[in-house]
Formats: sequence, C-alpha cells, structure tokens
Amino acid sequence: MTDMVANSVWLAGLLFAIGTLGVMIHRHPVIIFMCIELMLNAANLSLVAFNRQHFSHAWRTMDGQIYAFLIIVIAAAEVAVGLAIIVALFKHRTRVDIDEINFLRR
Amino acid sequence: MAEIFTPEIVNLLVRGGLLIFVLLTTFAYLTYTERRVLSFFQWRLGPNRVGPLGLLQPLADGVKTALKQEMVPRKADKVLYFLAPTLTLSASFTTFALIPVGERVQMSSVPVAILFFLGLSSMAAYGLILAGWSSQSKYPFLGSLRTCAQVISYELALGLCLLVPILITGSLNINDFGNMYRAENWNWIYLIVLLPTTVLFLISSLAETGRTPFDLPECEAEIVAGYHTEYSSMKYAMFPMGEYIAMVAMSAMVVHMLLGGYHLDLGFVDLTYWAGDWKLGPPESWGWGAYGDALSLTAHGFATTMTFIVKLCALIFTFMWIRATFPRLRYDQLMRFGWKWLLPATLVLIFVTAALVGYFGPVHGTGADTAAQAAMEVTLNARH
Amino acid sequence: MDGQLLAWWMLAIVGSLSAVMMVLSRNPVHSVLYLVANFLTLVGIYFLLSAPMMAVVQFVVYAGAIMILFLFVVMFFMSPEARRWLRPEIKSQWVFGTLLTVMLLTVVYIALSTAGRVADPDIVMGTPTIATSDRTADPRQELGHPAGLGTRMFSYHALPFEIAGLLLLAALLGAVLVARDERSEGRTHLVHEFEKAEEGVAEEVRA
Repeated sequence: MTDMVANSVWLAGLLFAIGTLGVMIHRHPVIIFMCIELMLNAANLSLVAFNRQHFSHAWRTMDGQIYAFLIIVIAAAEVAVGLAIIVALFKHRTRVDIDEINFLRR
Repeated sequence: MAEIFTPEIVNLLVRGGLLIFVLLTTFAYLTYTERRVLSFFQWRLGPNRVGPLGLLQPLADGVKTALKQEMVPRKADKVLYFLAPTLTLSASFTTFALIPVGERVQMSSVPVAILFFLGLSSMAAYGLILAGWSSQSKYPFLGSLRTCAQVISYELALGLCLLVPILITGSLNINDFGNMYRAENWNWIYLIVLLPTTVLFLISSLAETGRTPFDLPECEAEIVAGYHTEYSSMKYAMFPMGEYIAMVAMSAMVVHMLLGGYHLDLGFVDLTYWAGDWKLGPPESWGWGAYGDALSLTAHGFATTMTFIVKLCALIFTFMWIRATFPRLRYDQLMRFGWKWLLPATLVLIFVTAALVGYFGPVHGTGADTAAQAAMEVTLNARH
Repeated sequence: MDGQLLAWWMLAIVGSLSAVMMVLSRNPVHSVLYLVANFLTLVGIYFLLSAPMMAVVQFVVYAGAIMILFLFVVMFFMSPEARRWLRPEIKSQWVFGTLLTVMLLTVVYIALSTAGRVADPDIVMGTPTIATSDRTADPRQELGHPAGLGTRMFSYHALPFEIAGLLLLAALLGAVLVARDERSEGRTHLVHEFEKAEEGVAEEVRA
C-alpha cells in the first residue's frame, strides 16, 4: 500500500460502497440524494486516478479529468432539478418518505 | 527532528506566522480606523481617549472582549456553534495565502489561485450560515436565512467579474493580473471593460462580505444582530475579524485587477526598481546558512510590498467611504439588484471582453508564457 | 513513506470516516457537513494526484455551491416534523443494505485485485507512469494544467461540452418551473418565505 494512485482507486471503491449503503438504509430523499452525490464523486476520483496512471509522454491527454469535469456539470444540473422537486414536495406534505412518494401512480 | 525543519519548511512557517500576526494587527487597527473615519465623515471625533489620538483603543477593546462572560444558548448545537466562527476566520486567513502582496512575496503560488479564492469566499459563507442555524434562536435564524440567499446570489456576479481579467490575461494566476499593464501587447482598449468590471466586483464583494449597503444579515433595526446575536466574548469578535479580513482580501483583489498589482510602473520609469536587488535578511556573519537565504527578502520585494500596501489602503478607505455614504438596502431591492441588474451586466461585460480579446488578442504577462503558448501551438498542429 | 503519501493517507482516512458518519448521522445538517468534509478531502487528494484544476472545480462547485444548496434546503425547508421521518426505522432495510454493501465491496475487491493480471502488462496497477523523462519544458503540457485541459476540452470534446451547457440551461428552466410558488405569481418563492417569516417575528414582537 505505498502507491497513491492504486490506493485512490481502492478509496473510490470504498466511498462508492458507503454511498450505496446510505441509499439502501435511508428513507428521506435529501439524504439519499446526498449519498448519490457521494457515489458520483467516487467515480470521479477513480477517473482522475486513472488519468494520473496513464498520463505519459506518448499519451499526453487529460480525458479522465475532462470526463470527471463533465460528471460534475451533470451532477450540478441534477442537484438543481432534484432539490427543486424536493422543495416542491416539502411544500405539499410534512412527511416526506421515499416509499410514499408514488402519488403520480395513483 | 532536524530533517523536519528544512529551510523551506521554516520559511513557510515564518511567513505563515508573520502573515497571521500582520492580519490580526490589521484587523485591530482597521476597527480603529473605521471608527475614526466614520466619525470624521459624521462631523464628530470618534475614539480619542485611550493613548495618543486613541491609538491604543484596539488594545483596550481586545482586553474588554476577551474578559467578557461567555454565554452559550442552552439549545444550541454545541459543535457547530463553536465551529462556525472558526470556519469564517480560517477561510479569510487562508484567502491571504493565495494573494501576492509583492514581487515574489506570497505564501503559495497555486496555478489556479483565482478559483481557489472564490471557493474560500463561499467557505466563509458556511460559517455565517451555520452560526445562525446552530444558535437555534429566531433572529439568528433569520439572519442566516438572509446570508445564505444573499451570498448565493452575489457569488455568481463575483465569479463572473473575475472572468473578465481571466479572459484578458488568459491566466488563472493572480500575479498575471497585476503584470497585465507591463506586458508588451497590452492594449489600453481593455480599460473599457476593466473599469466597469472592477466597479461591479466592488459592489458584489460588498454584498459577499456583508458590508454596509448590503449588511442585511446583521441588520440591527430589523433582526437585532442577525447571525451573531447569540455569540459573546471572543467568539463574537471572530465574526468582525473574518469580515474585515475578507474585506482586505477583496480590496487586494481589486488592486490586482485594476490598479496594476504591486507595481509602480509609469511606463517610462518603474519606481520600484530603484530599490535594486540587494538582499534584506540575516547577514552572512550570523551563520544562518541556508536558513538565512530562505528567510531573506529583496529590497525590490520590500518596495513592491509597500506599493501594494499603499494601494490597498486607498481601496479600504473607499470601502469605509461607501459605508459612510449609502443607506442600507431593503431585502427585495437587494435581490432585484443582484439578479436583474448585476448579473446581466456582468454577462454583457463578459461578451464584450470576449469580443475584444478575439479581436485584439489576449495579453500575455511575460515572455516565457508567450514562448510556452507558441510551443503548445506547435505540438497541437503536429498532432492534428 | 514520503510526505505526499502520508498526506494521502490522512486525507483518505478522514474522507472515509466522514463518509461513514454522513450515512450514520441522525441530524441531516450534520450529514451535509460530513459530506462537505468528505468533498474537501477529495480536493486534497486531487491536488496530490496532480489534478489542480479538478481540485478547484470540486472545491468551488461541489463544496462551495452544491452543498450550500443542500444545506439551504435541509435547514430551511425541513420542519422539525419532517426531520422526525429521517430515521431508517425498518430493520430489514439495515439488514439488506449491509448485505448488499458487503457484496459490492467483495466485487470491488475482486475486480481491483485481479485488475493487474487480466489487463495489458503495461497498465498494471500500482506503477505511476509519470517518469521524469515525461516532463516537458512547457508547464502548460503538464498533467492537470488548466491550459492543456481547456485546449483538449474545446477542441476534441467540444460536442459533449456544448451538450452539457444545454443540459444546464434545461435544468435551470426546469428547477425554476418546479419550485415556483403559484400562490405568489411573479415573485420568487424566497421573497415570499422571507416575508412570511418576518411577519411571524413582527407579530411575536407586537404580542
């Protein structure tokens, strides 16, 4: 365990798993949303680590970082819409349980 | 142990300690200066009892604040209540590590310093928001609500204003802003956009630091003292400390954006170069060796720092002048101004800048950078 | 162990602990702050992985902007009544959640520990490939320099970039449309909330 890049990929796996655990055990949309953000960040971390791994004289691109950047942009868009939906939910009911937000189906 | 204290580390520690000391003293005397300046504006004398001209007033204030009784609301969220002022203060201090105060007088030279600056200003906002929320009391809660909305709104304009010099210089390094005027391909036409941008930056930095026309978060006529109502003693003092230091940091940014940074270059003569390159530091005979080299400062560095400080003082005076002149806005006025006027104006300025840069070309600070640019273009052409 | 690796380990430990605390914390505001702490450690790790541009984007966009939005929603739109429904009360959720996470961790472990053997020997995990001979005289060509990143983004990745911009615009419009308050047409929801809150305070002061 002396290499930063390999360790970062392991850390990314760990963070992803923690995010999954959060999504599984929580029932409130905001917390679940935050866990999804954590999972996205884990993916970003592995992309940046792989970019660091494969950057060489022959292959001098930073595509990994660009993908991570695009993921951040999409996550920002997702947060804006998602939080707007959650705020709209809060305005209609005090009890916001992810299992009960199915009134579009009824 | 000897390996830990290498000359570089000692240099960093000494510079960091010196920076914190200087900033704390600056804060103490800014409170005094602000009170004096405001009272002269209002045709009265201000604090003039403690020491000659009242110059020891900050000391007396400090002792008084430190000796006050510490009160913590019973229902407060204890951890966050203690964390909030610390967060605000440390974010403000860290901002100064990024800002060059003289030629090669700087804590750390990050290539992406401008973006870091923006991030740190929102870190300070966390402190204000958490302070209001963790007190679990009505007025602080309202103050924190206001801070949150205000900071989110004005941060956009702040960042967009910084985009204009970034576009012109093509660099994210704060040093390159100040060197802009000295570049060979500098074009005075860029002042068309730089002047209004600086004014807009000044306005949004007033809102970001919560100073007077925009001090809604601590509006005493409506919500007692806003987010720091429940704070007392030294923890209270940390909020104005953070606010003043953030104000100094914003002024430093304006100095770099518009006033040519730490240079005093009139075109035909550079007034800081008279100082020469001789070293200010421990003499050889002291036997400090490499430590002496690390801790020394050139006379040129000293002269540029002094230039910077003079320019900074002028801007800080402007901040106080604004405080003495303008009344506080109403909340809806604040929001309307920020979203419907400031933000579109900065966007228009960015479009104009982009057009100008497209036509006249970006201003590259030094010859080395231009060579790097040319080298990159060559490799790019080779690849495609 | 050199200084960089030591810094990496400190950041990684703080980051994982804050992620765990984010999931386990009962107070949503604390959860948000733990997530902010986790993102700040990621900023440090990006710096160590020589990606300064990514680090500041993470700092400004995630830690600075997105998490403030989360904090705003959690603090001001969640009533104490709503907060009571936060707790994961169903036992089976814990059981199945933990089970699934353990399974996922196993998969990650197997995948990462066999990665070197399956793939091309040139890209075996654990050997950083930036040799000193790979450094050029031009700092703009170094890994993570904003200029190189920008050049690549606006030439080779121009289409994804434009699509991302379009997506942001759509999200902006969507968010405004969803969160708009029909009761106060033409005014922002925020102003409405402020007025309500301040009226409440004014009444209490009067009483």
